[in-house]
Amino acid sequence: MKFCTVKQYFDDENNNNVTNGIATTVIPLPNKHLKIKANNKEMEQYEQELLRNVMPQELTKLILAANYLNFKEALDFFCRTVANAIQNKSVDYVRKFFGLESDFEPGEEEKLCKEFAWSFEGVDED
Amino acid sequence: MELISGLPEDIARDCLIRVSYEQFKTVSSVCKRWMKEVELPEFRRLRKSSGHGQKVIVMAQAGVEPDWSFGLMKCMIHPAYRLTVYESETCNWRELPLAPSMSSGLPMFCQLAGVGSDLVVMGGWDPETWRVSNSVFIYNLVSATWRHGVDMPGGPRTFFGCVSDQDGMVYVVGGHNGEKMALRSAMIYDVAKDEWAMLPDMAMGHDECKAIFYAGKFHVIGDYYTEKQGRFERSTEAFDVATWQWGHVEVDFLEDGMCSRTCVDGDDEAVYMCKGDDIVTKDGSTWQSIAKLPAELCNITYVATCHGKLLVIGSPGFSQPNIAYNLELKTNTWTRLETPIKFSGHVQSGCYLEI
Repeated sequence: MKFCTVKQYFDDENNNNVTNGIATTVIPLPNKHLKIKANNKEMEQYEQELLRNVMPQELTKLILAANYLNFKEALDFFCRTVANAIQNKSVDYVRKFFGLESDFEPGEEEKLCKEFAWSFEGVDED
Repeated sequence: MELISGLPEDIARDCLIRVSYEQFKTVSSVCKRWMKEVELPEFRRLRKSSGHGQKVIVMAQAGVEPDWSFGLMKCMIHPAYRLTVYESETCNWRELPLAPSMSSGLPMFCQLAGVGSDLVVMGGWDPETWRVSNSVFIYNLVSATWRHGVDMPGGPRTFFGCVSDQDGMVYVVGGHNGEKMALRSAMIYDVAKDEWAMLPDMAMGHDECKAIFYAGKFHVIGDYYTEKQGRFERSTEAFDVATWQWGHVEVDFLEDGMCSRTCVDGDDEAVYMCKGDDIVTKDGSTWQSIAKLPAELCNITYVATCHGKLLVIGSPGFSQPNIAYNLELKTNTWTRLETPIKFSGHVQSGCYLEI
């Protein structure tokens, strides 16, 4: 199933949905995934590597590519990577990572910080 | 405004529903769009239906301070109880913040019930004054906030049974009053409406009872009558919610060597308990052993069902650190869980939630 869609992509020269660079990352993924499926630790390391070396916008493109290629396992993996990008991070870091800005009123934001200060303790360094 | 720039809404949502509930507060604080998303009932429904709901047991657990004097590890049990959370799939332990008014710890002997993403803390004794309290506190694990509920009606009530029907209600039953009289009264609390309603009285008083949902009915298990204090009576009463009536008193529901406190209901209308060295399940009118308890678990502190597994917490001896084990109910195999010292204190009550 995966290879049919990939073949179709390469046959369609006018396809703008997936750039070459992204395809290079996504296509080798099935093999790697199959090889290390049993080993969660290696998968975690691969995910960490991805988060370190790939900019958020690139990650978005990887997700779109996996979605276009109907590659469920890759889509699952990338969505999980995005969720893990938020794990134990500060609000500011999450905003920067996703290119979002706060639209809270100054008073609202202060209230949030104050009320939930404990849940922002012990977060990773940005 | 897009949830995540560059991604279709459904895929962006697919990313956010995988975030651990501990990060919900961070997610809500990023921007209004994200706050609105996390608070939608549809978000939580999708999380659960796609298998990303987190299954946790929340417990009222004694704090532990290791004493390293004389080079030996000795756990000094601190009297303050706090809320600890054990997550079934990751085997992680963590602590929840207490309500601002709980500066000395949780009320002693309080009962916990899980309703949706709300943790309901009921009753107990003030840890400083030992005064019986009928207070209701609710902690929402999504918004990480505490609120007060309406107090339990009636006079002081201690050692009552308490259980959620997993459908918005908490049932409270029995216990004893200020004069140590076992109570026949029962009531129901609607968490969303913050309202109490009385159930009809039971046939007899049930003190130190366990409340569970079994075979489609609300059961009150084990008790001792006031006039026979000091001796456990083995009887059960079942309440049919559809007819709003209590059934006949069932004597001999329990057998010798069974403590009602260890009784839990599981999937497929099963019920489990500890009996001597065994874990037993009710099969018709008899109890059948399904597994022997691990040798380390001499004193059983707490038992809970969690998604096809039995969580059993106990210790090798009195005042020794508690250890947690999982019993996989399909295969009846035990797994010893890593129990950090910080989470090895006595457990007085607990409940299951899926967030």
